[in-house]
This record gives sequence, C-alpha cells and structure tokens, in this order.
Amino acid sequence: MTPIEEYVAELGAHLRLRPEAAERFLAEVEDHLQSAADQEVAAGLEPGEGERAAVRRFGSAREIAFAANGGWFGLGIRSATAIARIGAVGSLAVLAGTLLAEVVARLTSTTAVFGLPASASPSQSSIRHWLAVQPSAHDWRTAAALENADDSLLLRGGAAVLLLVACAVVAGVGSRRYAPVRSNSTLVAPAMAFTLAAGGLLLSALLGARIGDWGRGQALSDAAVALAIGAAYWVSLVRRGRVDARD
Amino acid sequence: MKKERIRGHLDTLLLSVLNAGPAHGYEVVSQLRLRSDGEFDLPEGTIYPALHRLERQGLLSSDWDTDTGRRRRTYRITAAGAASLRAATTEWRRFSASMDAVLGGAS
Repeated sequence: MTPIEEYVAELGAHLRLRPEAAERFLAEVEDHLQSAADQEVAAGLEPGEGERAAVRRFGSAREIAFAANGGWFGLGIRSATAIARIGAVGSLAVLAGTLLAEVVARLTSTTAVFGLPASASPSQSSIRHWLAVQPSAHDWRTAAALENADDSLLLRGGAAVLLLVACAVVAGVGSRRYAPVRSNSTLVAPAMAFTLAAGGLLLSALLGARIGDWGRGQALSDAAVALAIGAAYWVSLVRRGRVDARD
Repeated sequence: MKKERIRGHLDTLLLSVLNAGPAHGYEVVSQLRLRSDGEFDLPEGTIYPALHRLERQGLLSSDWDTDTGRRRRTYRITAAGAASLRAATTEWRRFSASMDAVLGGAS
C-alpha cells in the first residue's frame, strides 16, 4: 500500500460516521492528500516522499477522526446511543417476560404463575386489600394472584413500553449521524448481562429468594426471555468471529 | 500562532476564504496559508470536520466536481454563511479595536 492508502485506511478504521458520510470524508481526504503529494513532487521530492510529506502535514489520523466523529460531544452521543440500544433490548425483554407470564397464566392458572407460595402468611390488611380490589376472587390467594397479575401487566408492561419508546428515540437520533460500533465489546457486554440475569432470575425462582417468592412464574418467564436474548448475542458473537476470520 | 487560538476562529477563517469564491479543501488550506503569510498553519485535515459542520449549519453548500478528472468536493458560501461572516467580522473588528486601545494605552 502507498503511504496515502495506508493513511486513508487508518483514518477509515477510526471513523464512526454513517457509511455514506464516511465514504465522502475519505474520498475528500484522499483527493487532498494526492493534491498535496503532487505539489511536493513538483517541488522536487520523490513520489513516495511526497506522499509521506503530505500525510505528515495532514495530521494524525486518530486526531482527525476524533474531530470528524464530533469530538467529546460526538463521543457522548455515541455512548448514549449504545446504551439506549441495549436499554431498548432490555425493555423488550421485560415486556416479553411480562407477556409470556400472562400467556402461561392463561394456559395454566393465574395462581400458579403469580401466586404466593403455600407457606406465605401475609398480614390481614394485605388480605383485606386484595379481596377489596379483586371482588371476583373466591379466596384471598386467588385475589393476591389476580392483583399481582394486573400490577405486572400494567406497571411492568407499561414501564417497559415507555422505556422502550424513550430508548428508541435516543437510539434513532444518535443513529442518524453515527454508525453502530462494530466491536466485540458491543456484543460481549449484553451477552454476559443477559446470561447472568437469566441465571440470577432462575436461581431466585427455584430457590424461593425474595424476588421469586412473589410471582415465581414471572421470574421464570423473565429468566426464559433473558436466556433467549443472551443466547442470541452469543450466537452473533460467534458468527462475527467466523466472518472476521474468513476476512 | 498558537493552534488553539486559530481553532477558535477557524469557522470565520474558512467562511472568509470561501467568500472570495468556491474552492475545494486543498485550495482552502492553501489560501488560508497564503493570505496569513504562513501564520495560520494548522494540520490540514482539521479543516474538513469544520467544513462539514458549516455545511450542516447551512453556512456552506458543496457538490462533487469531476472537471479535473479527479473526484473532488467544491464548497461555496451560502447567503446565510455570508451574513454570518459579516456579523463575525464586525464583532472581530470591534474586539480588535478595543484590544489595540487597551494594549496601546498600556505601552
């Protein structure tokens, strides 16, 4: 590769712009460097030396790319976009877990999915509250399960939708200017996060820890969704590794 | 001249160069160096993020030009860019006059 080709390749590797913006930037840079090199050759330098002189005058590829990527403000936007993308997936996971629990409850029973364990002994005020807000229930356990199911759909599902919309807006705005970073860390981090979350939720549901005690079925549904998403990230990581090795 | 000081006024300098006529990036850098007698000598690549930013702000427009056989991007100042340049020039001259008055008085 010529010095100019090497420089343009290095600069391209550090750019985080959308493909069409990056392509335009690199085309302009290559033309500039060629013009500068031509002038150096006209002044008496050998072609290779002329290219190296042009590259030196142009500036460090990392620094030029940093400025082209929007500097510190651009870095902030890209970080917020990456976090919003993962947040959107997380919101979808919570929504999917909520809906999955609802489906399982309809296929089995609300008490089985959302009910308290048999050993639970809630306060009288809690029992009175559940029976008051769920008049169709024939006993307090059913009332508690129905109330948990309603709260789960409304509060968890509603919060997940709102967060999904907010994350989608942030990710959408950031993606208009910047391309997603294609590095393994953007897959490894969520893969590990979702896998660990699945493990934690599964353990808590099976061992009856506090989170799984109240609506164990919800925790199991969440664990299933988290495991599926974590597996999808690991598969993507393996596929990327195969593509990179082939290239 | 310290690079940081130039960077703070780079937008105005680029608008001023392009106010004289359309030019591609390399010509802009050459004109900047020529008109400042070599005083403004930044790493040449730094002008491209600035040119693109000015274009996003509507102060410049650009298109591809293949007249020379090579594909190069030519920039031209817009009406909004010219207005921005006039405002920046007026502000600079006021500031410069005030500095001269203070520094001249100090000596």
